[in-house]
Amino acid sequence: MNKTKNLLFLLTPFTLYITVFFLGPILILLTYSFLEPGLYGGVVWNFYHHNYGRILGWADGIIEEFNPVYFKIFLNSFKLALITVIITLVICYPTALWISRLKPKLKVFFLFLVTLPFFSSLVVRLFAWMILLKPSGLINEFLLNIRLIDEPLQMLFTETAVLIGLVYILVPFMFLPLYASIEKIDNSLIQASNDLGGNRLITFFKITLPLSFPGILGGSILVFIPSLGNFIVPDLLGGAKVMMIGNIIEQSFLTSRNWPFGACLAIILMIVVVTLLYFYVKILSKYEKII
Amino acid sequence: MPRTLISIDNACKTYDTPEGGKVNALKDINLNINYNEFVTLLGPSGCGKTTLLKTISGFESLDSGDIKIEGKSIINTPSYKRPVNTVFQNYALFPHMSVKKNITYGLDINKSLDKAEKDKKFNYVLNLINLEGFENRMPHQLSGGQQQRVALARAIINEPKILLLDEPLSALDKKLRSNMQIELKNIQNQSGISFIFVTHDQEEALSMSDRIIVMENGSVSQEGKPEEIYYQPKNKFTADFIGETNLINGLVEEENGLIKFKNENFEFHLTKDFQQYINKKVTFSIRPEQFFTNDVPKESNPYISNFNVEVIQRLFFGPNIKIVCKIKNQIFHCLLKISDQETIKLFEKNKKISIYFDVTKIKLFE
Repeated sequence: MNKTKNLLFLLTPFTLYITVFFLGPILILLTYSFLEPGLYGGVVWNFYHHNYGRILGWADGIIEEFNPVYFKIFLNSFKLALITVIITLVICYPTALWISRLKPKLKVFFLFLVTLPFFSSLVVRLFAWMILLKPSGLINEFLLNIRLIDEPLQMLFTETAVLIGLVYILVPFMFLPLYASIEKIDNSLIQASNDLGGNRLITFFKITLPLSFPGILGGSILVFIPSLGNFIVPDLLGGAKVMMIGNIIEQSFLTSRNWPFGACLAIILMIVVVTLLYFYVKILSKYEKII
Repeated sequence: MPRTLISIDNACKTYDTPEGGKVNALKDINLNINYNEFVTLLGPSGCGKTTLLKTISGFESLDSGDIKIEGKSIINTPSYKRPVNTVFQNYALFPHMSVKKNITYGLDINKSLDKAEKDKKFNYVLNLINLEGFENRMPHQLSGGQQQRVALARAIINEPKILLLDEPLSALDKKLRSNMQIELKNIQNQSGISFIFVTHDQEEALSMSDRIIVMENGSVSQEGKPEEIYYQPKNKFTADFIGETNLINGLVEEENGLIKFKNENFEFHLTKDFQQYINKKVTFSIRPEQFFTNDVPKESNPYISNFNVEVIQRLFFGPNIKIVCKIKNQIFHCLLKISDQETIKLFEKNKKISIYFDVTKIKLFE
């Protein structure tokens, strides 16, 4: 009995926090997504499912109309998030492997370097990228000066710029779980593989890679989810050219003042994310038993 | 004449310590190991035995010296090409692979065998380690002893010339360990592979090995058959490390043509065989079981000597009894055979008794 009491006591602060600041807003969001948008912003308290229809294809055509563009933006966000995952993975895996083999002191130093970007403001760093990428920016100036190009390249406000930004801000989120799982691999397993005739390549593909799978999965989730819903990066580096689902949500709330529609987009996004997390946990728990 | 399989010549290796110093892990080691031999590297931790093993498997390189297998130097061969396999201390089973996948790992990489041959070999070793029916289990579903056997099977299925075993039994409980000792010995006999076995457990070394190499601080202290090592230790370190022994410091003197061992607590006569130690400071070693209490008439063996001691502690083990006793400040451990309850009474605490020993069987070290 005492144990349950203790547990209750220990969990109370977090439960309160989650209820007030997480469950509450989500319930509000969920309710709004099923309400009719008011003519001048706000909501009319009528049950209204055409917000979803506008995205998924059954709108009434009076207040809301079906528009396949949202679906396309969803797909495009997925595509960008997926590419971000792949690029961060390719960048981080060799680095994590390399750092994991360093001496403890050097390890700490390089881990510090990896987390260094966290110490400055995200927006400031993205503005720096704007300065780098813009037509009269550093990169263009440099390329013009060495006469590699005749006129400035359009780099800012492209999908590439958005990808650069997403990769740039999310690299540590891929790196850390990846590093944690690679570092955990017992060196005697690598030696055992060598001992049994496996060269470096075989050992990597048969031992290191499969055993670091939880890290790959964890890093991918941690990169994919924030990229999918990101709106600052496409806002600053994509301009009006690149729309991600996060931008549409932001605009619905702040520009077109259609809260129910914004809520509805957010709910759909959340369902996607929760589904992904569900499979992530399921696969991971299978691995946890083994490793 | 046994044929040499592996020869280690003048092997040296130093490590840097974290404090910036250097440690000589291997100091000019010379060793030959023969075909079908069970050799044990025995020594306390830090004596270099594991380092030596790792230089053979290729996980460590030598600073100087050479290692040859069948006459060919292997020091520039990467570990994955060496004809040796290792059983690791922590087994190092691949956690994401089944028992079968683990065991056939080497064969799968090698690719020189077709499936039927592979299965035949797999079934053979599975039978050898007595784990039929476990082929689809994952390592975490096995007990320590079973994991140990899988690690062994994974190594010997490749039919290496040499199997290296790095304290493979240290994680097992006592009973399982003695079972595995017998199994290991059997497997070695059946497979004909040379085993190099690293351990710090002297009992294990004595019971299993054809030959023991005792190591101390990166050098070979003594090598020989288990019984030689036990009864003919060449130095204090070996005498002390192998088995239990009484080590007593003193001086050898000559008096009236008789040779004597003497210290502040007692003295006794030595035979002429100990002449070389006259006027030298020595340590004499006598094993606890070399003492006896009775009744050997001195006339039948002139080399019997005796101590009159006081019992300070006794420990009953069943077939024998251990007695801690002393002469003045000198403490002795004796292990005496007993066969009935009455005898035990003779060794009660504070009793004065006589213990006898054969002077020809003691060892002296300078």
